[in-house]
Amino acid sequence: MTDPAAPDAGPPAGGPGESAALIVSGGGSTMVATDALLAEAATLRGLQAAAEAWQDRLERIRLLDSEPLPAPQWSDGDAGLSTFGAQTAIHGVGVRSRTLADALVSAAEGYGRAERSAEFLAGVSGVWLGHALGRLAPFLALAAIPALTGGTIAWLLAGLAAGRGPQGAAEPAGGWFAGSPRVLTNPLLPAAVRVLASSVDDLAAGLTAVPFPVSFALGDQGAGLLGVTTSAAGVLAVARPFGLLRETSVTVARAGRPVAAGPPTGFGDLAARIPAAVRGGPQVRVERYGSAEAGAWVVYIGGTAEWSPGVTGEPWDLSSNVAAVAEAGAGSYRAVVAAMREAGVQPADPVLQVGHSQGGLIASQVAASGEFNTVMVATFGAPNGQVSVPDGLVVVATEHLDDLVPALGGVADQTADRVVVRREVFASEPVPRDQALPAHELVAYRETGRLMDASPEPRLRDFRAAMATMLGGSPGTMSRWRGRRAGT
Amino acid sequence: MTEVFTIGPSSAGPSVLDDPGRRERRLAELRRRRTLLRALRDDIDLVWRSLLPAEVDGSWRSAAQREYLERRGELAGELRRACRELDDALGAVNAAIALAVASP
Repeated sequence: MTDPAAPDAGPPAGGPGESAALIVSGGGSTMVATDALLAEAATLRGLQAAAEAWQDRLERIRLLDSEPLPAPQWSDGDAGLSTFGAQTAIHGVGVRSRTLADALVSAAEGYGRAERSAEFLAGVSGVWLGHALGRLAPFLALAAIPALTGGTIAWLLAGLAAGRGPQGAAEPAGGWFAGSPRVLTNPLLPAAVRVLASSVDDLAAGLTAVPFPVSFALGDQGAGLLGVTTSAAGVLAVARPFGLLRETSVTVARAGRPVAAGPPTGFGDLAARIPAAVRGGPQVRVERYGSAEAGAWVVYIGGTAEWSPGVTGEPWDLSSNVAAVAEAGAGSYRAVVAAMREAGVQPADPVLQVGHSQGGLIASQVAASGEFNTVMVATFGAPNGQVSVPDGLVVVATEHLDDLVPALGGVADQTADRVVVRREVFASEPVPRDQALPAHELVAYRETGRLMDASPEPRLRDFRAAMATMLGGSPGTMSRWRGRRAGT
Repeated sequence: MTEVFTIGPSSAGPSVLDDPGRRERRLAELRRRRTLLRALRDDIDLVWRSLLPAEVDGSWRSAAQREYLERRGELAGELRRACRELDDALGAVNAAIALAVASP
């Protein structure tokens, strides 16, 4: 078969002017393509099935004729001749729609295969490079000391000569990043960071002289016993003796009185209701719908509000970020669980978890824990690629191709059922110079959420329909919750 | 038209129009066929109209996209042809009904 789309399906998005294109993958399918293309394939499959049903209907109509004229006697204007012509045309519709749908599916599967192969190869290369660097680290350090020392002194002297103090020596670097905003939003960077994040454990394995085959077999590309989680745990082990990234107990309190709220209708609404990452503000929003006896809940979890590695009163901090990746009882995780209990979420009540950034990671981990009856998860810009949620759970992870943060979760589990929606925010638009990671901003994900609502892609449509069924159409109540680290 | 249409004397023996009982049965059958043909024609027409806009611009490189849109246009043409054939069939059935009703 000569597939019209397969020979040159090419990358499904990413060209100039395509910042609105959504790339959808996962969800038990091996296809990777734009949402429009996948919706087109679904339409053609539907048309193929419809054509078969039309043939049956036409055959039944034909059989109603109790006195049919034999075919050799047909002439223009005869019903038998027209019916036969319609049957032929409908047969052609069935064949053509099947051929086109097959071509689209073949192209999307081909792209998916190529992408998975590239990811696997990048992962293997990362493991090898990390391991090799680990083995060579002592020699590299020795060799680099003179050059690094000389370079640092020269940099400081140049800064002093230019009238800057030692603290101001870093200004040129900051200025360079500000002047080159595309550097941190280049989609190649998250791809590289994803591999690097998954390879830190291999660096450690190399340092401790663990043989490469063993490191490979235990890591993300093998049994998955080592990986981003182990690496994050290693970071905690190194940082905590210095008083950094420490965990504390947390408390939660409701912020204000519960108020009425209407159920969210799509991804745009979900993203819009996630609390903004503001220091001192509520980090969790809980909505309850359904009857007095049977509640259905939506829990919205905000992103990191405090980036200091020290301990402050804010549980949505860097410590929780690292502890969450390490699956080591992050303060934000415990605060969310406490807020859900305080809000009245019962173990059997269906819950939709929603989160941005760290909030998305926590949302996935609450779902994975089985502590509540989480039935759906929607995350935006979350480093949660390696969180394994129970089978049957509907997960839609939205990740911007030019956002570094989801990549920090490492190479995602290829066999997971989660649907991943990707979009390059700044494919054609200028990158703002006043934000460090503009593609990670909640406002950018809110825009993507609205695009997802407008998408005809079947899996996104199914998610919205399932959400509507779960929450119903009647108003509910909404409360906001604020977590605090105790003893600060 | 009547000499080739099934309602007429399609074989040796009396025409359906000559027998009132048989004519009524034939009329009911023709009306049923007309209803079903109309419903089918409307369903296909609806799908043809929904298939017209192809929202795949910008998703592929131009050569594949052009070829795909060409094939998709052929598919829409096939649907249109099915609608036209069903229109013709409906016209023939309507004519047969009119003939049966007009006969004494």
